[in-house]
Amino acid sequence: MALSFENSRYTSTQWLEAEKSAIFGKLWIFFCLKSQVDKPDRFVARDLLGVPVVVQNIDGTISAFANVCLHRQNRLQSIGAGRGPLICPYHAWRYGKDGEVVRLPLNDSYHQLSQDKVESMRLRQYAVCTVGEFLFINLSGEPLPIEEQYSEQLLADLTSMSEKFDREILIANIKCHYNWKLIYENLRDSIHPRFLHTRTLTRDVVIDHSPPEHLADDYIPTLKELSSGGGLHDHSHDMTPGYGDKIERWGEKNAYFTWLLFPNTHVISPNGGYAFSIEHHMPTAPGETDLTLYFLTGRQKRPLPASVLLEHLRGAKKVLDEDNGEMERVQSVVNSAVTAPVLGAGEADINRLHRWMAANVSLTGAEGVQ
Amino acid sequence: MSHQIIHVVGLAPHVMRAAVILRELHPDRDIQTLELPLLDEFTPDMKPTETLDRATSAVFAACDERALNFTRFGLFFQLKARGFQFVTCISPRASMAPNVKIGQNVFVASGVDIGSGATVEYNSILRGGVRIADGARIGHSVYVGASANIGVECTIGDNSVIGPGVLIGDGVKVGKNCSLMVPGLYTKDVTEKTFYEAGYDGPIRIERY
Repeated sequence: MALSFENSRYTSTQWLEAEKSAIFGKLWIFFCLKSQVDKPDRFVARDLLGVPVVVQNIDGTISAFANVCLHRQNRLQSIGAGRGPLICPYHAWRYGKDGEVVRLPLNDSYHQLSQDKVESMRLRQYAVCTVGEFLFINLSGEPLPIEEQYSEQLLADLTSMSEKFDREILIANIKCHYNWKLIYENLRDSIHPRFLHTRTLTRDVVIDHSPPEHLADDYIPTLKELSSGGGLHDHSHDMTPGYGDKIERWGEKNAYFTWLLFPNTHVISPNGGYAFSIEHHMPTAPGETDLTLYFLTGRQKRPLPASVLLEHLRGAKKVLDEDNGEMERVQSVVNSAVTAPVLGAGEADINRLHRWMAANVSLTGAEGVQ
Repeated sequence: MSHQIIHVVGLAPHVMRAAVILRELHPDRDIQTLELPLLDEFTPDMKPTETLDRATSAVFAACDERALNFTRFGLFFQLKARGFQFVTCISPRASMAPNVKIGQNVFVASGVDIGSGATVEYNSILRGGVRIADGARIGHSVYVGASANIGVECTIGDNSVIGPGVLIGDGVKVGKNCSLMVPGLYTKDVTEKTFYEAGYDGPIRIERY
């Protein structure tokens, strides 16, 4: 199989629509942490490639719905996260845990919708799956089992680590001006840190590059093979941060942990299970991606000052800025490049990603698109 | 009791900044500086302070806004726990109304103007050219950057950092542990543990769920 990965995949709206259909509309997508919505009336609302979604706790049940009122198509929850019942602010229609209309003000005197009609109305509901504290949703009507997307080991790692997550979470958002795939190729590139992050990441972390691997011409990876991770970079020195005695640590291994969850989530513990960050990249246009960052520590035995999470963010932001700067430079020229990317045997993980995408994401009936 | 020696203890460059003002304020006293090494990016090594004698010296704990002022708070707290008395460090070129209340270990730089009825609680720093309007309350361990303007009857919560040139509108309440580093006019209340930093899409927030 000849490997070619059209550069227009990074720049064209048609390709993004194809990815919406084949990836974001079919696979499990990380949405938020369960602790954000595990109390009654808590909610998180986000748009997933133009699909407004709200994950809402109603009477103890966590459900995902289209965040659009059945009445006049207003957003039900208009802020990103908070606490409040699922009531449309426009005309006060209220919804229950199965998306049913439980209150319809002025129905008798004004709307006059029949009882049958009211009872038949349901918000569009999406599948929800929690893996420890990680809450995923699936926009497909027939979601695949999450075990087909992620390996048993990966699911076990997510469950085990998140059992230690504290409930205090820092959340930040960054607008990134590049195609979402670029950063996930970058994260599969184990040699760039020694060139790009010499003043940040590689001052503290020894990052070994992945072994070269020659993929057979006809090899196409499975979905599970696109996600991986663990304690890739072992340290012999003690990684205990200054606040280490105030929190419960996940495990005892001094390692820089990193996990890639296809398609768009990166989980990191930079200091051996004391603190964690989650990077979630959501495309909004071919060359635009919203990055949401979550920072948290292991469960706090004593309250930590707010500066701990803020300084973790500031440290990570230096590395992110280096990556984002390069990705934006690549994005600015990718459409004018005359050849497909040249990948060596050491870049087998990127090669896998390209091969899976080439085999599973196509422009149906989009002749003429380069 | 007025101690003959004042030790300015902390991290560069704030130690020297404070020492210059204290030597101007107290030409008759012995102003000594003690710069502490760092154990990590945020934690000073307190070992060199073990030789200080609280019976003969007062102290000024000097440190910038690092780690949301918690580094300075820790320094202040540890010296206070050992019974040291603190001095304030108020530039003779600052101006303040007669009924202003200033806590211990407060640093007020040249050109600062503090209005009637305002309060600045202990361990806070007001950098050059800051204006604190009438009735404003600055909590403890706050840092207000150069030329920032705090409006009438504002409240700035403990440990918060107000960046250089930031304008806080009249009556606005900034919660504890906030950092407003994006220059501009803030006209709405800011909830605790909210951070405005350059390069982000909207505020950064810490919330306990």
